[in-house]
Amino acid sequence: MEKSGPRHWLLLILFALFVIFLYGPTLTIFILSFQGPDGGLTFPMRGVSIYWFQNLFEPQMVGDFGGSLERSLSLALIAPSLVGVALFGFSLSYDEFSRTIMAAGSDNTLPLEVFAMTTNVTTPVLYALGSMTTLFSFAVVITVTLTVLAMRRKRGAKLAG
Amino acid sequence: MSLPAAAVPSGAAATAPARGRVLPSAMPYLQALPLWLVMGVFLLIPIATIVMVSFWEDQETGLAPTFILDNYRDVFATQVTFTTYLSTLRYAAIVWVSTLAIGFTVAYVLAFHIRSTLWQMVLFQVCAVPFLTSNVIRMISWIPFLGRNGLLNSTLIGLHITDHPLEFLLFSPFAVVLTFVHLYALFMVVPIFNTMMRIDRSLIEAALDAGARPIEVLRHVIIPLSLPGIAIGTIFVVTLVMGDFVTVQMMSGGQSASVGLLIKNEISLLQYPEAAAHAVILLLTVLMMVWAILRVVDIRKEL
Repeated sequence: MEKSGPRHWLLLILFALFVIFLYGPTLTIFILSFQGPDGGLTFPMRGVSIYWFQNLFEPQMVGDFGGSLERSLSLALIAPSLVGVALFGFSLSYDEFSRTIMAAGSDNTLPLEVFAMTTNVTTPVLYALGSMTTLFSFAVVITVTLTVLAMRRKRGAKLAG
Repeated sequence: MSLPAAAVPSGAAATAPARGRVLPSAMPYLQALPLWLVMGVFLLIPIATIVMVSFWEDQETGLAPTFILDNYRDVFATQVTFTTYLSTLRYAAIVWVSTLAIGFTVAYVLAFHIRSTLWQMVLFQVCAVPFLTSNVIRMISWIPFLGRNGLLNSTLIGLHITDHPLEFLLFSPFAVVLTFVHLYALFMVVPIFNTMMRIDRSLIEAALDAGARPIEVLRHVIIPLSLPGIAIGTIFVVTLVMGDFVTVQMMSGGQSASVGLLIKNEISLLQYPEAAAHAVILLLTVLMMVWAILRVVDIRKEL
């Protein structure tokens, strides 16, 4: 396939638009989570602060994502080619909402907490939580990728030597 | 080989030659046993329970384990069922077309227009990361963007494209479709990308050498060979949209219905037999759709 010319660039622009579409809304709430203490759920920004992040950790937040994180990491370590599958599994248990809302008892999971917050929280603390979980996911993906790359390099060195 | 495996299970691992002291003929069954146990306990028994409860009678004092068809009669007797199915199917169709167009394009760019394997991997991860964050958070992140005083409306007013905020952007069918596409586009990208990466590059070269234009290569080589990935992505997207209730409830502001939402409401009202009957019919509908997709495309060829 030709790798230059107008068609190539048009396709790359479309790809970039898709990435913007994916990240745009997340970026909005990331910015809004730094609202000042008087800020609301929408723009304009009323000052810049980490007030809502501090606020987030004051009440007890319960999540069940620690366990699933550990599991998907070890899976990825066993077989690098399973990363895709592991990420699927991680994501699905991390974000198990529809099933948890029906089956969970008094133990709250993170998605349930978020859903409850959408109905009864009217402050940017909601966005602070969203930003935190997004950053957390980023950290997981970067860690897994770097681990896989390091493993491959090690294996390549072994084969060469 | 350096690319992340997609969510397509491989059957290769299960066919290792039978060794050990156990009777050789029993070995395959033993190897398949864990899968059967998992499937049985977590899939077959729950579904059998739902089917059973759908025939039970809802009485004032509780559920009576009988065998009546009233629940199903109630489902088909009301116009609500049909309008709800129609609305759900419409969402599924619009979301399917949108995710297919976006997913195919993105997978095509990743597979054929990114030179280095490292960059392919990096960009694939860039597409995959949002998928790892909570769906509910990705949903609510549209609210400050689409809202009455949201970013989009402020921008449009600032650019003098419109003089009053557009009301249809949030809490509308438009918002539901947009959120669905945002949430599920990746389910299309991953399987299509996976099949595209397996296309033998020499086939494309041969087509180009034989004088085919790029658009003809796309139409006669790439699309036919990507069909299994398209089918898998379609199954993902269609089943997810058909069963959804959270997105529809949240993004339509309660103004739109879906079958999932109908079932959820019945469960909230403790009408379990009615909900079970609805669930059985929804399950059959979705299974028929999956069956139809598998009739059109043979995905087994690719697995």
